[in-house]
Amino acid sequence: MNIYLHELKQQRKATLIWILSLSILIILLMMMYPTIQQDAESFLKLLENYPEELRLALGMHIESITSVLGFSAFVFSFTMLITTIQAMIMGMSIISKEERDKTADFLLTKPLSRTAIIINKIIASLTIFTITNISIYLVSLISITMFSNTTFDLMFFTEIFIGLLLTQILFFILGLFVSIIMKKVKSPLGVSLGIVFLLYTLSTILVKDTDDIMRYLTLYKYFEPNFIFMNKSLEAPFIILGLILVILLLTFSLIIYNKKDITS
Amino acid sequence: MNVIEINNLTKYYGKSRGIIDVSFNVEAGEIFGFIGPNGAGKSTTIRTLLGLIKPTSGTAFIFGKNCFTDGKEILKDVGYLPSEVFYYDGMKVIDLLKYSASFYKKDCTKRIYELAEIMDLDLNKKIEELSFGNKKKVGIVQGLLHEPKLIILDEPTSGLDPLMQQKFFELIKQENQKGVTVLLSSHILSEVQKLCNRVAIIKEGRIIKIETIENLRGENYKRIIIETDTDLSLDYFNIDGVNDFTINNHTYSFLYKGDINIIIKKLAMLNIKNITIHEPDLEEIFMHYYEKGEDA
Repeated sequence: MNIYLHELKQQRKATLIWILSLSILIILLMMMYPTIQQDAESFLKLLENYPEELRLALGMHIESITSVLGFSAFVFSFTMLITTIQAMIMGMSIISKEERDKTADFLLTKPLSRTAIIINKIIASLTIFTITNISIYLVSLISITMFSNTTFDLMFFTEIFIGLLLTQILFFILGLFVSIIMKKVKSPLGVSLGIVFLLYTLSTILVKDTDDIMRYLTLYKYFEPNFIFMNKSLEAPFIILGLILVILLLTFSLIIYNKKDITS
Repeated sequence: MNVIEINNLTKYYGKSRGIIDVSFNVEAGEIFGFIGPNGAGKSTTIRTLLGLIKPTSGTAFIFGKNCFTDGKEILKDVGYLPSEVFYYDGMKVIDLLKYSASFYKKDCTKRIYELAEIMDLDLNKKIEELSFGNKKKVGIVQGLLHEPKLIILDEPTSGLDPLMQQKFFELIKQENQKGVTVLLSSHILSEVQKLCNRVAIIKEGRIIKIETIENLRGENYKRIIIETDTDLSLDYFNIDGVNDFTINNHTYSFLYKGDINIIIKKLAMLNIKNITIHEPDLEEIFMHYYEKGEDA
């Protein structure tokens, strides 16, 4: 419990900054929606001039972008890129920072197991992701109601955010795993950005459709907002696959970390 | 009863040596010194005892419990002061100490204030504002606040001024009088000499001697220095018991351990200008172990 609270306190400022920047991004993008809705035809024509790859990379789907949910899906695929960066950085640094800042000598000579330390830190991180997601969920709801006059399906909207949270958890655990198998993590930011952008780029180039085989490999499109929009809901196979991945990576992380030498 | 029991502990980092076949016991209530130069394996041994490092082979027990499987139980009653202390920046000293105390199932508040008073530590400062010496003080309070039964100190006095060192030694002695066992690693002999009952000397990863401080000093070594007018044959002092032989012009210096009569007879046959015979201090004996190694 004390590690949990300590971790929340330590991350307070960073989390606030993440929430603020995400909110600003969402509001700014949503502010564009009334114009796009009014000038739907010319906007689509403009889009058609862009190469398809670019449109896909930006998460813009011609069929749906002018509807309020389609446009939100576009906004949230951007949001997802940023929240996964947040998750990956946290996963990479939550354990490795103790070694990098040399506080591991303090924490690991306290009477508790390494497993207990990791579990506490994971629960703290999940709390932070949940807070981040609920905050931007509310900001998005408010800005959508403000900037569009059409009604929309709240259930679908909620599922997009559950998808965001699940993707965050996936990337968080991936980051944790990578940080534990690496001997020393000098720059969690650099490695995180590298991996996230690599997977993001691969997923936009390789995964064009919901049943693309590459979708299983790139992690990015398991719970992608545009796909949720197309399917009208989250896809159960990917929830199960994600869960299996999380359990596997977590188990390996725990086994390896329990055997790891903490050198000064 | 042994508080610490180490048997044939070996640690290799890949191919490079950490420690080889380290074995020693620390008895309940003693202050045990662990000396050796930097890189000899002192910290590796200590970190292995604390479960921070996993050994290549060998066993270690604290309070009769296995250091590699029962760490959680053992650490309840262990206080550890690392050689370099690092804490979470942005925290106040008092918050860090309270965080540290929160891991032990007892109220440590009173002890925190007592220790801070003794060590003259400002509890309301932020950790990153502290000097190296003051951080060390935080480390000392942090290591003692839960009233551990075993205190492990890794080079504890570096960074402390002489006055604080004095206060710190007093504190450790007081704890020891209450029955607390202490393992103190150091490369500074004088502090080991002041505090410890027994010492283990470690060199290049191996324990080369375990001895009481009294015996170490009382082994009847003599430092003999003579000055002559003429050159002596290099073999002249090549007899049993002579060690650490140096020549500087016509000054000959060596450590002697053995029958005094033999060396006096040898000396009596020379034409000597000047002579000093004195008890070597620990430092000299220590250096001698280091140069000679296991055959000493």
